[in-house]
Amino acid sequence: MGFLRELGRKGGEFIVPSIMLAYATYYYLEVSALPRREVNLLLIQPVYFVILAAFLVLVAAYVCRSLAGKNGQATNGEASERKITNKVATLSFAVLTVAYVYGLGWLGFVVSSWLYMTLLLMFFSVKSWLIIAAFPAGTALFIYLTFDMWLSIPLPKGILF
Amino acid sequence: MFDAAPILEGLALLADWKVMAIILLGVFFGIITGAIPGFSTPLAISIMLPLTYPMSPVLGIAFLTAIYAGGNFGSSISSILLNIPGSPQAIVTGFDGNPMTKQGRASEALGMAVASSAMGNLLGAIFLILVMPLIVTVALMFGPPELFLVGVLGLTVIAALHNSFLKAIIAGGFGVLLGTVGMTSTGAIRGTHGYFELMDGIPVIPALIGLIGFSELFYMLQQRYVAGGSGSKGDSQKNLHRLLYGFGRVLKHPVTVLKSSTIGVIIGALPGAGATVASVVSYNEAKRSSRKPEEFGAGAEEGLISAESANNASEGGALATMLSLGIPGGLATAVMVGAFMLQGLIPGPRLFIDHQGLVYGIMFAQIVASFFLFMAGLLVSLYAAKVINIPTIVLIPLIAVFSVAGTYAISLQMFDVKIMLFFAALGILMRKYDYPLIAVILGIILGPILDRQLMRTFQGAGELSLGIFLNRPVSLILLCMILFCLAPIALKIYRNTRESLGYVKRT
Repeated sequence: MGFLRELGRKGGEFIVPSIMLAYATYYYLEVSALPRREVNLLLIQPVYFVILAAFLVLVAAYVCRSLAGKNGQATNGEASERKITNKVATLSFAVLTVAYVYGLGWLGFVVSSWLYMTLLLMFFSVKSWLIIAAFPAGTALFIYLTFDMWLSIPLPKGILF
Repeated sequence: MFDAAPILEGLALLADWKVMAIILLGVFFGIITGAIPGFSTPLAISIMLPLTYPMSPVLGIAFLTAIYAGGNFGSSISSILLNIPGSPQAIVTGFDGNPMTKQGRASEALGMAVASSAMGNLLGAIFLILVMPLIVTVALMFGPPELFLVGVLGLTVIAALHNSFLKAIIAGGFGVLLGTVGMTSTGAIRGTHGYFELMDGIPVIPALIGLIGFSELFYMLQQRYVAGGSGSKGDSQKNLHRLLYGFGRVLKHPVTVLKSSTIGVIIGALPGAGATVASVVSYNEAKRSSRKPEEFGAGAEEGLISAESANNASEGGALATMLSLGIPGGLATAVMVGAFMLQGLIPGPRLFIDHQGLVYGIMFAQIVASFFLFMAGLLVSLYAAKVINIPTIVLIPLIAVFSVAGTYAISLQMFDVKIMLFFAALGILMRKYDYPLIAVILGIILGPILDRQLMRTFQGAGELSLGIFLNRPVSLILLCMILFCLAPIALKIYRNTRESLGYVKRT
């Protein structure tokens, strides 16, 4: 039962492959239901079975390692070195980015970008008020002038600008 | 008999300060726009397309090819400095370029990228002039089975991407499946979930920016500066010295440059393959033939050189197919076909007969662009390297807004920006649990090529069997190359498995 406890504790390791396998299974079944199944599944079927086999071997390897008392898998080092430590800044960045993307259509590019950058700089504890005041406005204006005015790429316009 | 008149005519077309100025301008524009995440080379070319209308044919086409050359290098700047590739062809550059930045060798990496890009571009142009008829003959020998195997050859790099072969396979397979989403040539609609925006497939650039770029910002936020040891005021003279040192390092690897450029030209000449596949295959080959393959992915000079030389040289190959057959190999050359038409010219065999001087003029313009690329690249890199001295808390909002603007600019749809967010979330998870992000992106890029060519192979032969691939000489060579690339990986897996089993038995 030791490995099951280990599996539960370190279950996060399987979040990514589980998401990928779940999507692959759903996609495979969806395409299987289409007419001319043999043509549509030409590539999808072998790829799906490769993913399935790799997932099963990954789980089996993990179980074997747990039974042998060897913890986890060897990583390339990068993941263990790079952890999210600044949780408040990270969370505020995530929330503000989602709000920014969904607010773009409503407020328009210039206003929402200015607001987004200003709030981010404040949440990131930037001390200089000059940077907080001038940098977001300058950047938003620069992008607008470059994209919209010079290159004729219209950016989202909202109720204000 | 050899006729020098069209060559001289082509050279005479370039003997005009306006042509030189427009090439320089195009290279600068390409580099700067290429460095913006999402601002791909085809987009930059298509924006400038209307401006070429009042220009003479040589001026207009030279301008667009110069943007093409500049864009190929420009997208590597953000890949090297920030691990955010400006466009897909720069993904592989970041494999070793970004680790070099983290080791405090940003200027050196940029210098190497400039030199490899300029040399790759130059070699591509020389190939274009000297062996274009041969390239076209070889390219015409590639039918659907061969193009499918070129895609598989590109996929083999996935297996070598990560310490965990299984994680790389799962991520790569997932990417390939995502790459098959959309409407097929048979009219079937797969995996769009009702979003008409997905009919053409998952948009690669938003996925790339989200998965690699935006997810990187979350980790960048945990440190004060992009690279450890930064924060000191940049000394321009020191930076220039390092850039030139990087340039010098490229000269120490002439075989890598030559081999990668050749791979780049050949793959670039294949319709649909493009610069990304060229850089992947070239990187894989450089790793396979290197004396120190373990250094790849950790700042190997050969890795960066092979990727940059190949993706820039591929332009020569793509232009060869476009000019001689009228077949655009990718989006950038498709826009350039439009530029030719705007000038009343139709790319294809007749172009060579009717406008030989112009064709040679365009080819020589490529050579000129290579020299300008070197100068403009060094100048831009000199200032771009200073980006790593900006604190991340200021840099992150800037990159985030540019990424959103760049992503939106691709097709002027908020849907693309939302796709980018979705992939950013996936990227954060994948980074946390140490899954190779590049495998997913390569899968998304190669998936449509594999799917389309496999379907065409099946439709052509009426069945699918190994015999189709074994009975064709070019596909047989490609199969051997695939096995050759996979052999060291298989050997590594065998050794690891044997060690693991030995470990289990002993315990």
